[in-house]
Amino acid sequence: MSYARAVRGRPTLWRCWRRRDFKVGLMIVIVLALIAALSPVVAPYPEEGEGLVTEAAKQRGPLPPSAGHPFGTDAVGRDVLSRVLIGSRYSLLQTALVILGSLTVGVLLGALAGYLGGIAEALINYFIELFLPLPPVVVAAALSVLIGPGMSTVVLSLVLTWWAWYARIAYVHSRQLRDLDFVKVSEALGFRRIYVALHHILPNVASPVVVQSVLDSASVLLEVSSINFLIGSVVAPFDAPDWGTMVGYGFRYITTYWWMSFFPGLFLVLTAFGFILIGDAVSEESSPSLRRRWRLWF
Amino acid sequence: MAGYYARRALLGLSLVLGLTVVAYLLVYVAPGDPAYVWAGRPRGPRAAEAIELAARELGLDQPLYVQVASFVHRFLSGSWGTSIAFKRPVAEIVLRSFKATAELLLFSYLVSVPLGLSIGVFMALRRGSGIDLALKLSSSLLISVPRFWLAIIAVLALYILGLQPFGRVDPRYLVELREVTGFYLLDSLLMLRPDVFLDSLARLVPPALIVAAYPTFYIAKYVRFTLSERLYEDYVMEAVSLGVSRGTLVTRYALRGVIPAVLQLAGVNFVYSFVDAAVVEIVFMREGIGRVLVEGLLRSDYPLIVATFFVVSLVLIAVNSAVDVVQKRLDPRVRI
Repeated sequence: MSYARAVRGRPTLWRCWRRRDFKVGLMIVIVLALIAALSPVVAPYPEEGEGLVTEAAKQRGPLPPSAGHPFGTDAVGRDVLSRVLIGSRYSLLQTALVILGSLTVGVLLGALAGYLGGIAEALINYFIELFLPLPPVVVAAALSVLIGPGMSTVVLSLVLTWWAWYARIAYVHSRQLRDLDFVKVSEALGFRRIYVALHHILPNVASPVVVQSVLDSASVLLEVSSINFLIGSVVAPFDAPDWGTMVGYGFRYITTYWWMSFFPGLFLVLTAFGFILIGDAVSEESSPSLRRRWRLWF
Repeated sequence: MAGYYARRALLGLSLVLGLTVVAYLLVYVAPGDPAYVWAGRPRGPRAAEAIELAARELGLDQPLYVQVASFVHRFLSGSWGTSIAFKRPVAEIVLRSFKATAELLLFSYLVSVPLGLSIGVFMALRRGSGIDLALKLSSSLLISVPRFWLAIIAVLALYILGLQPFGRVDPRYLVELREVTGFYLLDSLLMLRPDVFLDSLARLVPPALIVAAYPTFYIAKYVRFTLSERLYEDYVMEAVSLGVSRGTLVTRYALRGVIPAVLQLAGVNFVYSFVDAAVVEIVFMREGIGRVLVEGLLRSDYPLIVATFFVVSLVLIAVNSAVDVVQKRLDPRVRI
């Protein structure tokens, strides 16, 4: 048994696996990922899911939930179940893109700021302070007018504000690493600073930020959906099947066709809940004092 | 200590300057023609005229340094042009809507910070019990509910019950209401009109509670997590062996380190609650930043949106700075 293993016990993920909440969360996320992957096959009316108003839909009109259409049909007669299933692709894709984009930018800039010091540190920290308080929804509104509304605008505006979060975490960690022996040694051995940054700082900085991004995924999903709700319900074409946009579109008919925004919202709740269960388990299991399950002893 | 405040103030000022630069870039480095965007993407016979007017307003025919100087001057002095959607000065509309949103947000946070803190302490002290588990699960669930959807469900439920708490105040009070502060709760009190006060309070509470859902339960979970961690530290064991009671131990010692972190958390979450406030306002048909954004998007009202961006970011920067300063007072170890 390695030294680290003896001190820290089994790895975090292994311990998470034994928790019921983690398993439930993982199940939810896996099922949703499967739905997203298979939705064109699973959805009863895939072309309506993508936004097409078919001839059948026109004749159907808005219908309440029934056996044929478990989630009902929307104001122009499209099957809501199909739209929700196809919509999972759009919602999950946007969430993933925002997280990946902010991780890339944030970890790189934060690690460089902490390791290089000097002007780079001051400059990057200034940008972190400047971008952290920018309101994503207003940025998204401005960019929608500038470059037009759409999925890429929403992703771009969230990455613009979210990266600063990860950069700050990466900065704090890489600053601590800067003074550690193994970094000093590789500098003394004559490795170039850029090599040290990429091979020693970046890998060590990345893992806490990646953990944070797992904890954040629910917030990112809800943030994406809020922006899509606001912007999508005003300007986006009503055929975009993203869950937030669907709730925004159905909101106009809420007193007559409540099912139009109820079901996409329900899927949002379920997905976010799955993400949060996973995040809770990971954060509790990675803290040594919380791992003990007994009650307060005094 | 004084050095810290001076540096923080300097940073704050430089951030305002940086924000102005971002606003400048948003206006002048627009893809395509900045004047066309500034004029609200006009179409029709008089479009050319509107674009030329916007170009003159932006000073596009002037040299670059004149452009920058006049832009900075105009922006910092609050003359932001005329709104295309509302046909009134942008500054007036943005400030008015901002106050409405601020009223909602402040009320939410006044409820959520103390409530979240208490729930969190309660859970930490009963960690592992049934009630802790139930509270933890319901907090997680309440955090996962998108606030706009919760607002829609609430509106639907109230509608079925025959209640319609829409807007900020009953329209018939609107003519009488003298706006001194712009916060209707305060204005009605200043007018000595309890009926107006109660009416606006009744319309404020449902959306405010929905906006408060996220910070309350986020803080509760955070406090549960950090406080339980602290209760296993060595000094707690020592204090217990010396006979310090549980209540004193928690409130006097363990919570002391948690509260500054909670304040910082509240400050950070304020940015995200802002988005919630905007969407919940739309659902409850209140005036505010949400409605400004909707109207601005409908008419491509770019001057209005850029001004909103500037004002909201400015206030959020101020909130962040204030949180930093308060945190420094509570926890002197903090460095810039």
